[in-house]
Amino acid sequence: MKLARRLSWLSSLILPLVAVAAHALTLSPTSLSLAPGAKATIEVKSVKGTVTLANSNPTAVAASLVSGKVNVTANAAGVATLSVTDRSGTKTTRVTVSAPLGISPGTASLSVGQSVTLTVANATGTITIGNSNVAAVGTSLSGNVITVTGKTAGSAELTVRDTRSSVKVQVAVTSSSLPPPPAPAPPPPTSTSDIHPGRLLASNCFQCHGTNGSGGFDRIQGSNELLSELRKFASGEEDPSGIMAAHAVGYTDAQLQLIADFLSKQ
Amino acid sequence: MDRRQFLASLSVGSLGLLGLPNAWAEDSTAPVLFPVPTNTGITGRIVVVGGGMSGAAVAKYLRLWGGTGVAVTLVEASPSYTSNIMSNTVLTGQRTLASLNYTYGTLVSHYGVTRVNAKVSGINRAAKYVILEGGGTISYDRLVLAPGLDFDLMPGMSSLAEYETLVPHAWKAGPQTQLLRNQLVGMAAGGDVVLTIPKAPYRCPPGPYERVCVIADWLKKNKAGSRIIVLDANADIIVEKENFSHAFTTLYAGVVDYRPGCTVTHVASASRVVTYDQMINGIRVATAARVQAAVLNPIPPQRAPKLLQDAGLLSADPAKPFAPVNVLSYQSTVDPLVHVIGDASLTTQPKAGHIGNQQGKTCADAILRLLSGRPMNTQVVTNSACYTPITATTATWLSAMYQYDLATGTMVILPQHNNGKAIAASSATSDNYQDMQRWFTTLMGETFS
Repeated sequence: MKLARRLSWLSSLILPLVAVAAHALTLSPTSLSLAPGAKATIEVKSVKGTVTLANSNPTAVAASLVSGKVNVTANAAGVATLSVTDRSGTKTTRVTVSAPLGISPGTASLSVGQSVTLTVANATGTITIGNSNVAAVGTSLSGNVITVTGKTAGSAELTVRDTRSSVKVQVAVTSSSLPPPPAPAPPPPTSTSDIHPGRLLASNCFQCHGTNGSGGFDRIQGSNELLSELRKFASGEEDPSGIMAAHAVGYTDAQLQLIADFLSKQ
Repeated sequence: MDRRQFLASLSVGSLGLLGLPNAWAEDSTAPVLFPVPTNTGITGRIVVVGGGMSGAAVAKYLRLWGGTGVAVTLVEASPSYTSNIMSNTVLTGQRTLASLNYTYGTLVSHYGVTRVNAKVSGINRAAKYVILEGGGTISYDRLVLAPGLDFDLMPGMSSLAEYETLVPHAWKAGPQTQLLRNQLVGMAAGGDVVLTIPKAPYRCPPGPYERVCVIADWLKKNKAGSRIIVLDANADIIVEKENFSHAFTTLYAGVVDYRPGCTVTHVASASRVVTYDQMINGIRVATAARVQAAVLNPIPPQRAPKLLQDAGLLSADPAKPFAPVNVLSYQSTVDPLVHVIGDASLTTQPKAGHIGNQQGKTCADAILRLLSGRPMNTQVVTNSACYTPITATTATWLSAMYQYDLATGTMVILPQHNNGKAIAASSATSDNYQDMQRWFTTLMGETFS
C-alpha cells in the first residue's frame, strides 16, 4: 500500500518531465554506418522555430535538410558529425563511412573433398560465418581467411558478418568420385581466332530455333543445307512473304555464309 | 517449298515424307542444355542486375560462351519472372498469369549462375560495387544493368499505388494484369474501356494496339454494347499500320474508337475520367475533352529506373530518359565498365523481349572479348521479331533486322530490308496464331534455359 502510494507520487513528478522531453528536438538514428555511395535518411522531429544543419566533414558525407529529415549520402571514408539546431538546442548524429565488408572471390565452386580459401577485407570487430547447409560445406576461419571445404554435393549460402554488416557468398559443391585434381596450370592465352566469326550472327536464330539451332520451329543445328535455303529466302525464291524471308533479307550474303558455317559445325 | 516444308526437309528429309501434307513434324520446343566449358582461359566477375529477357540471356551466355572462369551473379528482387509477352491473353482469359512464370532454376543449376534475391539500391562506380537494399555489397569487374523500366505518373495522379488498386497499367505483367482482367470481367455490359498510349519510345511498340484488338474481340463476345476508346499520344498507329487499322475499322468497327494525337492532361483515377487535348495534322480538334471510363487502362510514359539516374548513366536530354550505349558492346557512354541492355538503354532499336534477348547475347560476346583482350566484333546484327494476336484465334507478325552502321555508330535496318523498314505479315491468320505459341515457348526456353 505504502509502496503503491509512493509510486503514484513519483509518477506525478516524472510525467511532466516526460511531457517536456517529448517536445525537445530529436534525431533518429543518432549514429549511422554507411558504405561509400550509400544513402540514408535521418528523421528530425519536434522542431521548434528555425532549424539549421551543420556538417563537420563534408568530404566524408553530403547532407541536406529537407522538411522533417536530413538526407545523407556517404562519399568517402571518414566520420562526420551532423548537428541539427533549433530553438530548443542541438542534437547530433554521428555518421561513420567506411569501406564495405568484402569477400574475395565472391562465389566459390568446388568439388567434394576440395578446399578453397576466401579472403575477408575491411572487417570491423569479430568475423562470424553463417552456413545455410553444413552438410554440403564446412568452414573454418583463421584471421581474415575463410577455408571452405566441400563435403557433399549441393549448394550453401555463407553469411559473413562483422560488427557492421554482412555479405553473402554462394558456394556450389559438385560431386566427384576422383580425388581433387591438382591445381590446373593456367590456360595458355587463347588466340584471337578461336571464336567462330558466325557465332554471334547465328545466335539471332536461337530465339525461334533454340540454343545452337537445337529445336523450336525446326532443328537447324548440324545442317549442311542451310546456306542454300537461306539464299532462297533472301532472294525471294522461296516463300517471299513469309517470316523467314523477312529475316534472311536483312543479312549480307557474307553474313549468311558465316551463319550457315557456324550452325553446320554445332 | 514453303517454310513448313523446309522444316521437314531438314528434320525428316530422307524419310520420304515430303510428299505427304501435314506429315512434317516440327521439332521439340523443349530446350536443349549445352554444357558450360571449363577452360576458355577467360576469367572475371560479372554482376547482372535484373532477370528479365535481356538479363537472363546475358547471364546464360556469359557462362555458355565464357565458361566456368567467368563468375556471374544475377541480382533480381523477384523470385521469378512473369513474361510480358502473351500477357494480353491473360486479359481475355486465354492464359493464366501463372502460365507466364519463369524461374531462374536452370540458370543456377545448369549454367552455374549465382543468384542473389535482392534489390539493388545503389551503384558505386568508382569502387566497382553494387549496394543491396538492407545491407551488403557485391563487387564487380564489369556490371550489366538490365533493370527494365520505371513508369511515370499520369497527369493528375499522385501515387503509383493508384495503378495497383484503381487504374492498372499492366505494362509489367503481374498483379496489375490480373486486376485489369478482373475489372473487365466485372464491368457492366455497355460500359466503355479507355486505353491511353504514351508517345514512343515505350516498351513493345505493337503491344498497345495488340491489347486494343484482343480486348475488342473479347468485348464483342462478352460485353454487348461496350466499346474501347483509344487515346493515342502518337500522331498515328506507329507499327503494323495496315494490319491494325484494318482490324480497328473492319473487324472491330463500332467497338474500337481510335483517337490519334491525344495528349492526356488529367487522369482522375477514382472516378475514371480522362481529360485530353487532341491535335490532328497540327490542328487542335479538341481541348479539355473528357471521357468517362468503366475500366481505365492508362499506359504511362516510361523511363530507365531511378537506380540508373542516380548513378549518372542517363542521357542529358529529358525527352530521352534512357542510358546511351555503344551498341557493339552495350557499354555505357559514361562508364565503360557498365553495360546497359534491354528497355533501359537508349538505342534506335525497339524496346522488346525478343530483341532484348539478342542484346543480352551481343553484350555477353562483347564482355568476353573485353575480358580476354580480343578485338571487338563489328559484325553485329540484332533481330526484332514478334507475333501479335489480333483475335482469339488469329495473329500477325512483325520483323526488323538491325545492322551495325560504322558511319553513325547506330543500329540501322538495311535498304534491302523493305527500304529500311520493318516487314509485317500480310494478314492475320490462324497459322500465325499457332506459330506464335511455338515462338513464345522457344524464346522463353532459349532465354531461361
